Amino acid sequence: MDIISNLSLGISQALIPTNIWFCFIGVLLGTLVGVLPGLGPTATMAILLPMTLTLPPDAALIMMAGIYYGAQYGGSTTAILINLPGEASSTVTAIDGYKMALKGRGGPALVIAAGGSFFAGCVATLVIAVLAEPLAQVALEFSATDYTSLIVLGLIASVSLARGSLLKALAMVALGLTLGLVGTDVYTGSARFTFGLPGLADGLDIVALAVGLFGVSEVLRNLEAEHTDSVEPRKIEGLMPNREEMRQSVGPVLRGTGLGSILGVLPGAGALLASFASYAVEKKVSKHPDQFGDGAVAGVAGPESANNAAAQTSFIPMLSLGIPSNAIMALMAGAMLIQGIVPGPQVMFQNPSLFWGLIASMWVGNLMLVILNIPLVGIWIRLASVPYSILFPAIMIFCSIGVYSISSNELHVISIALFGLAGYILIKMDFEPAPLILGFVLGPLLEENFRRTMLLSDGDLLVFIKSPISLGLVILSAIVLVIVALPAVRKKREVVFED
Amino acid sequence: MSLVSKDTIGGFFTLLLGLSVLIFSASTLPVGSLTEMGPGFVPVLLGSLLFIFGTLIVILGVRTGSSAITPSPLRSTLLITASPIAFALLVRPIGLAMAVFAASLLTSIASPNAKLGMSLLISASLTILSIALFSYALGVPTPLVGSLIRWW
Repeated sequence: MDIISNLSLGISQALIPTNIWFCFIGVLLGTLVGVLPGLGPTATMAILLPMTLTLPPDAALIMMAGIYYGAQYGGSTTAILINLPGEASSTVTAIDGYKMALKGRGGPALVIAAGGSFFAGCVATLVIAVLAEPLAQVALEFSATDYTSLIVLGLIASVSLARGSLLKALAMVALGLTLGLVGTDVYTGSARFTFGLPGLADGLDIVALAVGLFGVSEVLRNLEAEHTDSVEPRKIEGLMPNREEMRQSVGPVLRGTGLGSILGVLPGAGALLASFASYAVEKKVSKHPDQFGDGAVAGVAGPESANNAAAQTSFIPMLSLGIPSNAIMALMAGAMLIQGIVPGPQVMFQNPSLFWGLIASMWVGNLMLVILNIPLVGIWIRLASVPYSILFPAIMIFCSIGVYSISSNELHVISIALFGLAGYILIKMDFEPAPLILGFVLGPLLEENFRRTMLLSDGDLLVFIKSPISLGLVILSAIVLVIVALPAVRKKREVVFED
Repeated sequence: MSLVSKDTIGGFFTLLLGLSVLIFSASTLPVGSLTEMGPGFVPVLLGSLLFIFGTLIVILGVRTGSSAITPSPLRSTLLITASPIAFALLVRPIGLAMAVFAASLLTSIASPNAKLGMSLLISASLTILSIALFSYALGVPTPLVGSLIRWW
């Protein structure tokens, strides 16, 4: 079978010592930064992005992926032990996980979360391996018209499923698309929005934009909030779950994995939606729904498996279609672009060892996650209680040197300050920066395909509904928009995303 | 209901930005037509979209009302923003070591309950740590001492 030969190619690639090493470094750094208070996976990836740029493409992408699940898992550790979820998708874990920790079952909660995540990660990786190729085959047949509609659908769907006001999210996509215009127009060679600055001829730097929007603005936002400095972590007595806890977590892990694998493929808030959905499902099927909120094992096992599965399968749209579905995947796509690889269906066929190596490395990375997290949990917890007053100068310095080290360009460092300030102001007005980075990454692709379509069709806009594939995608986009705009759904959506 | 809220201000800036993009690109770039798009076509389109979205956000914000903008701590915001700028301006003339020290000092005094002694200590340790990490472990070639100082 094809999948087996592909996966064995991937495994042989992932097991090259340098790739194992960078996978390890990625998972380690991701966990390290992810457990620090106030830093979610997006901020972690943005801050660490500069470090991967000097590596060869396969090592760089493997390391970025490692950073992602390291950060994701680091957030769960702090959610369970000190009730400080590093990111939105582990807020659910904190509900019952922290209660378990209060009852002295923090160790087992961590082991269950790690075990569930590991299982979910393995299954989700298999899902990627099975789904990615046929999807990419389909996408390869797409004309410029279909691709334009697909990108539009991707953008609309990802903002619809994300939190916050739809209108504001759409505005942020448009802003991101506009920022993506800066630089030289590929068709005519004329400079756009460069204001005569030679440094802008190649466009805005995605690293500087990401570091500013997700790193610096995060610091600004955190400084505003009142900080209850350093929480005294609970002592952990014993790690292994008892037989009863094991038995209670089997079902939730299986259900969470299934749910997460499906929801992760959808654009938007895959991992977040998955963990909320899994919690709701577990509460519904449980014989003791009253235990939820009071340290129910299922309330940790289900959501943790679900969000890890979703984190993994959210790679599918980016890897097979070239369309990142959330800010984290936009950063992955940005890292690929910097390495000279244009994300899209062709990657898998032109560069199979890179593609399958990345997928197989997810197995390696998930295993490392378990090995790193369980024995070293004491260290992570100590890190999580580092006071913010020491932490944020370090973050800021790391951002500045990191960006400067890429190309010794002072302008890029100055722009992280400006993007950071802009991001902070946007957050203050409840405009989320995630759709912006999506628009920024997809902008050039969208414009190129749109212009090619119009050139080929002689300026006929109806071509978008004449091609059957494009028509289907346009209808889907319309349905998504209408559904989200419906008052009943809008209310439900607000409830779902309420913390 | 107040006219100054997250939605009205945010929407207003969005529509203003859209308008500027629209006017700037329409007046400086050839727009062309759907059949033969010039470099200005998509910018004009996006400018209009931003303008429309901004207007809708303002209208909805006025009609349904939205929460007021919480004030920002001006001092820490300015100091944090100044830090990368200071780093960028200083790193070539005085070198990595002192630029890091200056930039971390700016951030560490940003916190409202910062004490100078503690800030100096944090900045000094961060400087040593970054030199160890970036210059030695990662081999970033930025000179530790800047051109201005060596020239003396």
